[in-house]
Amino acid sequence: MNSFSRYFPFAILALVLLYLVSVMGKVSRNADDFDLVAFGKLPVQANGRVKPIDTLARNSLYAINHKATFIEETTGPDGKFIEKKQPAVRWFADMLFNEELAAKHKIFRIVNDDVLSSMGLKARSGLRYAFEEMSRERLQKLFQWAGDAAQKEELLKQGTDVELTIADEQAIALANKVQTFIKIRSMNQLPNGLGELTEEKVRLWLQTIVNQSQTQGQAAPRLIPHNVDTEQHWSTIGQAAFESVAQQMKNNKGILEDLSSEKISGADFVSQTINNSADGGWLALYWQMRTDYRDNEPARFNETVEKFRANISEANASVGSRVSTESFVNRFEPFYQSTVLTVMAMFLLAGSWFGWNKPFVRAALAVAIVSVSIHTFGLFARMYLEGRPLVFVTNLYSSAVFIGWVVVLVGLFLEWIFRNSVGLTVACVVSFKSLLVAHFLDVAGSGTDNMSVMQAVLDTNFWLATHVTIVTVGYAATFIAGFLGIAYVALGIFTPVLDKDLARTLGRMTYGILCAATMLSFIGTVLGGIWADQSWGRFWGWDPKENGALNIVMWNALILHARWGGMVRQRGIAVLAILGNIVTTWSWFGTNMLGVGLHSYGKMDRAFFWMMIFMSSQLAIAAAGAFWPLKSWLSYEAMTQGPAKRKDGKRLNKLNKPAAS
Amino acid sequence: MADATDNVAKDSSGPRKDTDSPRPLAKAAPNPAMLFFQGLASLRLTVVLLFLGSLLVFFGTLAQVDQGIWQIMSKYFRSFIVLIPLDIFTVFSSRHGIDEPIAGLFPFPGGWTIGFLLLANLLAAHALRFRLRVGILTLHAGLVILLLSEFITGVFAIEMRMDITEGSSSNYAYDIREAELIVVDTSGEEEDRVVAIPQSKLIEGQVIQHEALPFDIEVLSFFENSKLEKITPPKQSEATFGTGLFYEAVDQPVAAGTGTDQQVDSPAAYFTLRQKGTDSTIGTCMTSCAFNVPFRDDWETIPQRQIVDGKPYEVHLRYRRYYKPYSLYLQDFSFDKYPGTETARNFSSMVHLTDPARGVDREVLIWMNHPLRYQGETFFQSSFKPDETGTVLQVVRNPGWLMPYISCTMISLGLIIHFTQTLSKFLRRELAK
Amino acid sequence: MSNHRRFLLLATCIVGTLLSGCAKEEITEYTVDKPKPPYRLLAAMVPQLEKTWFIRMQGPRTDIEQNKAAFDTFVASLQFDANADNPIQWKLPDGWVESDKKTVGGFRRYATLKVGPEAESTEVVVTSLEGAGGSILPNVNRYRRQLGRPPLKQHQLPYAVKKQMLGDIEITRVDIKGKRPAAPSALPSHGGGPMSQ
Repeated sequence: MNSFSRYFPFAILALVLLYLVSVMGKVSRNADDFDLVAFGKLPVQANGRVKPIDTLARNSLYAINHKATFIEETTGPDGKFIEKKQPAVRWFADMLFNEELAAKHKIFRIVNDDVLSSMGLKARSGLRYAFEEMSRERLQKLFQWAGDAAQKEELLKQGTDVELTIADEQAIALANKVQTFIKIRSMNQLPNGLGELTEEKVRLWLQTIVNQSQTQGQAAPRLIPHNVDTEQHWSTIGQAAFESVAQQMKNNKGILEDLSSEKISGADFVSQTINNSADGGWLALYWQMRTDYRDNEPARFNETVEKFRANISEANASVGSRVSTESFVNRFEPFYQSTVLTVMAMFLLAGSWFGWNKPFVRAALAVAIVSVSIHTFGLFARMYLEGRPLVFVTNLYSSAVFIGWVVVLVGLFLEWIFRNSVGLTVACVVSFKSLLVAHFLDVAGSGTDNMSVMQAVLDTNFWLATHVTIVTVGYAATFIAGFLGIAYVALGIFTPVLDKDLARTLGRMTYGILCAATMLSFIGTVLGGIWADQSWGRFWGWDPKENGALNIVMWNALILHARWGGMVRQRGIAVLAILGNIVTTWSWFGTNMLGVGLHSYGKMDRAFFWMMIFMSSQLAIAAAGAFWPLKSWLSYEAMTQGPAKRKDGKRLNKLNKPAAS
Repeated sequence: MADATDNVAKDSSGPRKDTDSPRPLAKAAPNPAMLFFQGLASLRLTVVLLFLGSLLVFFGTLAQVDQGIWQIMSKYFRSFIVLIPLDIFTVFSSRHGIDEPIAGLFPFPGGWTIGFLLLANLLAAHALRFRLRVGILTLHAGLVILLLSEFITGVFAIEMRMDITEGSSSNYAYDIREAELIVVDTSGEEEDRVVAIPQSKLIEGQVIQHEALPFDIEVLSFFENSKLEKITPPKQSEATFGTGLFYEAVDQPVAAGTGTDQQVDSPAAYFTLRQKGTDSTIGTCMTSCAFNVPFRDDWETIPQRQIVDGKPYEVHLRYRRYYKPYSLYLQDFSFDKYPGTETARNFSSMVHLTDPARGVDREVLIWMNHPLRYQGETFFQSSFKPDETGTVLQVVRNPGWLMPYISCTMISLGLIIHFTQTLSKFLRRELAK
Repeated sequence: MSNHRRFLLLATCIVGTLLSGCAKEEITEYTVDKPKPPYRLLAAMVPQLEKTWFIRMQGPRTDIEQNKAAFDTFVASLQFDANADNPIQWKLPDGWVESDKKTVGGFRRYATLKVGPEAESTEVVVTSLEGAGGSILPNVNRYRRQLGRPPLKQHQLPYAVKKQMLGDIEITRVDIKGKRPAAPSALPSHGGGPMSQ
């Protein structure tokens, strides 16, 4: 038993490291002959920033397929039907280089019967459909429908009583998916069927590019970096090709006649033009990749990709390393790994309640430390990628990630001071919850970029790094206090371990955290006021988000004053702190759901349901803490009589006292 | 629960003065005034006020879904008592705004009441009870300044806007939340003589008489928000001259919404002009702030013209103007978006500030988070003309603008001093074990 | 009781501040410069047998004000001879120069004059259109639209233009004040006044 206690934490640690190594292995391994991992690291400008193709591919496929992967259906050499799970970047490569194949991938998730029948489709298992299964006419009808539905949605928002059916909503959703698809594909296409390219085909293609540039060109992802140093001069493959062809036609007026008299084939004309275009060779490299990809020449393709990457790094090293890092972060998923490890730590802690507490707690501690390191890496990687040093929070998603991180750090600090595994438990639980919230927020964003650009008024690193960070730490601290309150109530009612000592320690922890929470939320709120005064001359505007922050400050101040006035003691503080969870949740999410105010950086519909569930649960726990008669608390005896022997001055793990003896 | 827990105050390193208050003092002083002050100074009152304050802020937030932020501010936070409609609690229902609102109101103390009581509570506590502790004293003094600053802002601050078209200048700002009626004597060669009547005097049924006015004005009706509708033949217009012959103003609910994208109310009114001191009518006209809209220049307004005693006069209803002794000339407005998106990246206005009286003549760049402060007023980049050829600046005059800065520094310092003391004491003891 | 007094003193200060905020608003009287539009357009329309001549000068109000007198002299100096090689003849005021700009944005001009030698000097444009004087209203409205003014109805036209004799020809003079014309764009202009918003 002794050697087990000693080596158990190390064994767990080794296991964790092994797991991480395996993840790293999976991250860098390439399942394909084509080095799609490297391809995913090429830069693309979309939604206002330069990012790796990998990010764009994941987000776009997520928006269409509700997954960052898709199932490819092929027939094997023996004529057998094969289904293979493929990464998003594979789909993206098909979109760029093999449009016919991309149209065959079954990625459009359509769940609504009405929408299915309007598209002439039948329900099938998986409910996923290919682009080519939807005819042009039906798509046009769909856009008509979605346009009408969007109008109804607008009317509904203004308070007019119109009925927006689920089918209407789904039609809008499908139309958006189709648009995402078209935006990527058609704007980055080169003329089809090179073999029999005619003047007419070239003209048609040019016309398409021109039309689409006008309608969708603004929002289409741009792959050609005419100037890597600035964000301004990027264009889509289609635009770049169009420009060089148009230039060529202008310079060489006779070319159209040559084309129609077949003196020169369309294919030769386009490939010559592209290879000689004055865009720094980017277009030619994409053209080469396309040829390699279609000819199924992985080695040549990989070479071309490598050359492209080298050229980018040479042109602008920071863009090159940034996109590589982002692509790595995408594949490694630090916040996901950190969530997995947090869950593991929670299991270990749970294990500690059933015996061998010390080795289990130690193991949990080790896992939590590894987890927080990965979490830290993820956060700082985000900062580097966004180019915003010390800005932890830029949107609701990152605020959840950041709260998870702060909570673990504070929990580990409490553990270091008190060594009673309460801090660790609270850290793991709260951090897990907030990572879960972050995950769902990310999912709710349905494939949008979680590092999206900031509105002009918010685009200031100084205030983001000070006001937003401090306010969010204030949220985190208030949550920790609330969960310490829950620990007090839960341990008191359901276990006999809450003795005088532990109760006092918990009380002190809560008090200390509350003091910090008051201070941080106050300073953070006030910094927000100063920011507001700087940007629109109103220190305090009674805006919902400001009011939410003020509510937290007032609530924390209320608890502290109630304590100083002797109106509440340990139990009362625990109950009030639990109610603080509701106040904080309101401030964090509730105010955004009101749909008014300048701060609403997240829009949610379904999240409301979960918020209400959480709030009611907190209310129930607080009510239990306040009204459950003390005499029927399992810890009643321990609380009234105190610990049996604790005069030896030795600090033992109080939580696990029964198991330890 | 008290028997299960030990004495918190004794155990904590928090402010200890509370253990000797307020009961021991109450015993010593039977004087009723003193009793009152002790009540006023009690921590119990603090807690109750903080609780009520929290609730008020919460209600005031919910109510913003249906009402404009300025109404909420004056009804909830800058008032002594507020009648809160029960309907605010339905904002989360998906039927909100579609179903009939729930009837019923309940009274609640307003922001002034809670704020002043908190202030009194704080001052009384310091006068009667607290020992001198640097942290707490600094903190609470800062809090007093903060409460006062919000009061001063509430009473004295004015928020205005200034529109400038590229290549032209402006020497006035206007307040979109208040209207004024002006009577302009346009007979001058170079200058117009303006008589401005504030909105507070535009009371329905009242007759406005003033020595500077060429005629008496009877206010037939005044709408805080309105829309204009074309008059179709069978309908008769109330107006006897001007635009009102063809258009009528219809009363509208005051707009909801907050912040920069807020809807602007469009006040309108009907006036009858009378010969000075008599009952004889000159004519009735309708005028609306929509004839004098933001984003348009003065020469583009629609006046209601009338000749009285051979002199041409114009009557306008417009957003209340504040003329400045200086002017801003807009050289260039620029608006950048993130490439490939509609998300604004930056707005900026290059303006030329000219103040002949003070000999000021300089160029200033006003952009996001970088306002211009001049002569007690601050100019912020706020919006722009729809066609991007002009800027809209938010102009704020707030005599108390510096107070939050002072107060925040004090409170933050106080909090840091106090809690560092607490924490270091606590850590020293914990680690000594 | 000094505590007591301290509190009263503070309270008095606060109530004082409160009361001072309730000053009554009064009717005020002041003078302002007459509102002046930033842009101005002067034009003369001269009907001939088969065509109408248009002489137009537009620019920032201050520039036009400075050159109005010269423009008037210029218009007064016009002479027409439908059969000559140069059907229209004039005497250039001092400082004016003739530019060789003949087309702008695809539209032909008969002549472009400049009131000064600099490239950005105000231009005077001479054009001609086939047709007779009945086309005054659409042309006035075209000018008005350029300067962001609402179009006129036929019955309003006499108030907006001035008739003048040039020798034995009755010419139409137009003077429109308005905003700087928007850069030529595909967007239709909206000159409907506030009602159109």
